[in-house]
Amino acid sequence: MSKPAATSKVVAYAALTGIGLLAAVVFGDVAIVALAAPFGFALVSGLLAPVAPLPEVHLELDTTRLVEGGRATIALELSTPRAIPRCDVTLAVPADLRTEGPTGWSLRLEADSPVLIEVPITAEQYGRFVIGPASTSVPGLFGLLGRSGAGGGKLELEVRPRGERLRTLVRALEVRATVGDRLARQPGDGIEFAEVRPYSAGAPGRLNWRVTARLGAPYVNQRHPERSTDLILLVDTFSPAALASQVRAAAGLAAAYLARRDRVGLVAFGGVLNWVEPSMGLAQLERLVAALTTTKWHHSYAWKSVEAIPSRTLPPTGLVIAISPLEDPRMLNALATIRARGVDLAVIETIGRRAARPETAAGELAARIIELERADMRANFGRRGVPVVAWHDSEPLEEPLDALALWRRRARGRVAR
Amino acid sequence: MRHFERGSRIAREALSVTATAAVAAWALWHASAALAPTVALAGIAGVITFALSFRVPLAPARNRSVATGLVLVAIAVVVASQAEAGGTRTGFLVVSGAVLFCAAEVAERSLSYPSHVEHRPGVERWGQAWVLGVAVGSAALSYGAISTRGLLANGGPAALAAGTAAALLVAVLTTLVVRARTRTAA
Repeated sequence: MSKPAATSKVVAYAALTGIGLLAAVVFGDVAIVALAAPFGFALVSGLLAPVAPLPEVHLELDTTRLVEGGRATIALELSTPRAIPRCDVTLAVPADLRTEGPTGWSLRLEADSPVLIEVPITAEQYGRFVIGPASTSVPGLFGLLGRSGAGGGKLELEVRPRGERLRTLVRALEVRATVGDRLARQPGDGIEFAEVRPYSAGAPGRLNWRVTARLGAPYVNQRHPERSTDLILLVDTFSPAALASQVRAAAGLAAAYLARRDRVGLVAFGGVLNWVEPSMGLAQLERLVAALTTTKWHHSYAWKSVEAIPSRTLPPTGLVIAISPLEDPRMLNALATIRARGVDLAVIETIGRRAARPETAAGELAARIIELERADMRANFGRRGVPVVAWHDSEPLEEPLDALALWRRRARGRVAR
Repeated sequence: MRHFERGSRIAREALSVTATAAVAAWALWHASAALAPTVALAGIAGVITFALSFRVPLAPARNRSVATGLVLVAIAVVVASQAEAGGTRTGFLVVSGAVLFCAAEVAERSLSYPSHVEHRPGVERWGQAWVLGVAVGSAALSYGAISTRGLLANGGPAALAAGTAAALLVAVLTTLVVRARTRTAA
């Protein structure tokens, strides 16, 4: 049990009492004591009165995992074997968890009558949060002495990013040898009809009797096999402005591609490098979402290049979708290097809230120059076979994905390595 | 369950400042023409310093501000009551002390409940009674003691005795404060 500690009020009241009494002695005027007497009485009674003990605090959370926008309830239980006339309780709740009520209470506790306080919270932002402990303080008479402490321990809450449900997905140019949902360009064992070809020994395909009878030579049906692809999500964490939207977009893309039996990997490229090697299945989705949940902006001046990324994380046959505001030169350099290695790359450029319109003519000119530079950068990427589509983070992700798919259909030749 | 309302807090602040200002005004009303500037200056400075404590976020600085304001108002009261007769003056000082104490306690209660804290019923039930009890009890006791001393001794040795008692009380209080501060350090 913590010992009662003096508050700053003790000093104030002692000073008032002392000044009054000393003035009475110095001026030989006992009536001055009357002015200081109430403070002296309060001081003596406050210091002599016993201070109630701190209550037992128990904290509980009804869930340890939420998705953004989800709700949970923190249960705070206070109990004491002795009555406490006044107990001040403050619960430490991170700012990104919105509470629908106060997080501080001043209450009276009766002996052996636990008080349960429920605090509903809404997760407004993904991340890992620590709730608690609850700070308690019990003031004594006149608040001159008091006990204070923290109890209930710490509760951990993981809030996962809410990914958008996606229908349109950009397909990779190359497929893997394993079965998936993507139609491979190469002929093989599949369901989807591809074409009719002259028979050659050892080639796959069933004999097409009608064509064979009409042309007088054996012809076989060729089919597209269903194969899986590799997708690497490259999330730019150099800039904090649109990071939350980028993480949500990555979560949506990961879930959509994994649902189609593709292998999905993740590279969070920024002040701190974080990656998840490509794999498939529900376990991989858990790994990716867990990695995205902890993705944060870390300020760094250190020059980062693609060499820092493990080579297994960027398979040469996979599609890399970069989600970036394209502002940091380190990210631009990394994208150029990845493309120079022949990796299939597409960029979703995140555009956050628009900057205020410049007020002066010079400012307007500067803004136009910046916009021209960015247009030139996008054109440069386009010439290298890298589509760059803009995405306002308040709009659905389907739109830039549609634009990406369209760009790649129209520029199939340019995208080739 | 009820929330600590902002309106209630403003009312408490207004009440404590008004009480302090009333004491200062009362002192100014009773001050002689020669002492009026000094009383007015000390009273106004005291009330302003006291009122400024509501804008100080940290408790130690806030308590210092309250104490400084009360000392200034007390100086105004003592100076203004110089010309009063013995019994009237004692009563004047006793009532002023009680009012200033109540003002300080009301201010402290107003400041110790931030607006985001839910203030549940039953907390202050005995606290207010204690404040009034100490104010009235100490006022009555000090008035009684001073009157008795005036009646019995009427100066000389009694003043010496009162001074000795005051010094002893200061020593006791200092001991208690040092003891309390030692507990804090522990």
